[in-house]
Amino acid sequence: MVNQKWKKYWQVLTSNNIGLFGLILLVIFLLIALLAPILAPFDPSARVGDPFMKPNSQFLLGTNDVGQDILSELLYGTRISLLIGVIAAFISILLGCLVGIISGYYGGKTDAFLMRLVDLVLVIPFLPLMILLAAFIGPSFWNIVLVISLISWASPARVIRSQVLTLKTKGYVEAAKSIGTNITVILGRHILPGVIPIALSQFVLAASHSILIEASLSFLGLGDPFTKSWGTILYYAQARGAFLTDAWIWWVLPPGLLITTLVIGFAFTGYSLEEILNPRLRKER
Amino acid sequence: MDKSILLKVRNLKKTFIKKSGTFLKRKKTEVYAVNNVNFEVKQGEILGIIGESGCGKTTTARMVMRLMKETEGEISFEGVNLCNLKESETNKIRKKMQMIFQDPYDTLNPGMRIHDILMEPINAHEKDLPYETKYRKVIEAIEAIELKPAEDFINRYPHQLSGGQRQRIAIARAIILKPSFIAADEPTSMLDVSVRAGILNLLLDLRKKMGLTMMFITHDLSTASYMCDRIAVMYQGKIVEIGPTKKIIQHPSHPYTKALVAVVKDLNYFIKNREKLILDGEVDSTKEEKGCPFVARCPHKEAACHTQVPELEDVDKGHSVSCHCHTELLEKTS
Repeated sequence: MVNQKWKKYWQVLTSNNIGLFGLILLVIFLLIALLAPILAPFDPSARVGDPFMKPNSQFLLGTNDVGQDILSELLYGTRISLLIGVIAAFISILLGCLVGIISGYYGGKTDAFLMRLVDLVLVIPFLPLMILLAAFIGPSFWNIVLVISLISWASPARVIRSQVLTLKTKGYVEAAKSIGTNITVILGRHILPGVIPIALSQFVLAASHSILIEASLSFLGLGDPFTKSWGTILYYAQARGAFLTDAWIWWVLPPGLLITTLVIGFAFTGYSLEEILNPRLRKER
Repeated sequence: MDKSILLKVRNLKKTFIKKSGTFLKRKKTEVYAVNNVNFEVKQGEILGIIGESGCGKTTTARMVMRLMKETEGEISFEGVNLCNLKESETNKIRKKMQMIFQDPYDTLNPGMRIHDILMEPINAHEKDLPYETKYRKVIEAIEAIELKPAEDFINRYPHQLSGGQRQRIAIARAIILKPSFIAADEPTSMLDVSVRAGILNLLLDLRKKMGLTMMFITHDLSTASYMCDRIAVMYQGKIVEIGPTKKIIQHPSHPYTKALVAVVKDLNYFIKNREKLILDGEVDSTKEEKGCPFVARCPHKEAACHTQVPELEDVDKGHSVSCHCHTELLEKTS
């Protein structure tokens, strides 16, 4: 039945145009990230041309202020943006699951305390806080991941908690209790399997948020200076005045478009995953 | 005599707190779900608990099974007071007492195979056994509940079984550890009438084979009279009458029991005595204890019924009732 269930999910996902589109986008980006060394014409960190060159047959998107090929930078940047997004989302979902399950299952004071904490995290204006945090602990790959996860675990935690609340009233959970099964087994065998599908859709949505946040932080110059992501490229473009000259067409627009497309890819996949999990959203076909 | 008593419940109470009113004028009212319940279950007998929805029968069972904490009272099982046990000690006791739940569609995890569902109790209490022994136990349990061949069922998921088969699996899960006590919470109320008899006979059969002691909860007097050695009738969290099945059915003493029996026994009698038997009025378990809980719906009320809470009194050997007027009523009917 488990296999049938996943097959059915796959059908809903692929029968939905938006979901399929999102999934294809994600696959394309994954391929770009994996094949960056093959696709990129130049080493992104090497000075291969004159500074500020316009797009030509050799440098399809021109060069930046130190003569690095922008196209190669973008291709390699996919790796960083995708990686940060996925890792940060994974950590925040892990944290969210933990808090959500504990809070939902135990209830009472634990629940009240954890949910007030979630409220607190949710209402904090996140951009200023992140800027502060990122500036305070210094820019590096893992610090960015940490900052993003610290901010974005709260809303998955709340969603997962509500799922746990419905799961724990199920007869089989009560039956397991009356059998004398210990609590870790109950959580692992009965609660967690019911939470995983929701966690998956939350993960995809969190990934799209994380990518956006990473781009904003990097654009503000708080990204890792040694691993250039799309946001970092935008930061340099802005710092070197590309926004004011014609260069925006090949220096600013491409990374911007890439960020948008990747986020859309994640968001569309996420929405159709939600549709799978919430059958009421399913359209009759 | 004390030696043969397996389960003893003394002054068991459960209150829920109902909050009402706005922030400043918050009122907390206590709702009695179970109010001063006393009963004993002897080794090897089936005690039926019957009553209408919301009368506290399931709550009583849940407290006995330690799924819910009691507000007051004492539950002793094999001489051990369950109320003061720690969680880990309670889990050990659970090996000896199991529960069968009402809804077979809800109590089996839809994502687990029958094999895993039946392994769960074994893993909870006898994890260290070799796998072959555990497997044999699972097969034996499936055979004991008359699903044959057992190997056919072991890899199925609950949704591939019918309601009756699911309830059988739930029974298998309850008996797999060979417990001495089983609480069955309306095990047949969600099933088709045609499957019911099979499940009831299976339970009676298992009781004979394994020497089970049972607490059988139902709202159906005919089921109870078929299954039980003794019956306790609950009304609004209280036991209003308790006694051997025969006596309860043939000589019901409490007006509530009378009404229940009359409906099942003889529809003609019910039509003729409609006025006297009909149960009217609101059920309100929040009001303070003043008088008989049944007074609002009772056709025979007297002055004392409004002011004095009736206690359980013996009318016969092993048959007690809590009603001020039961003696007069007895004369009237006989």
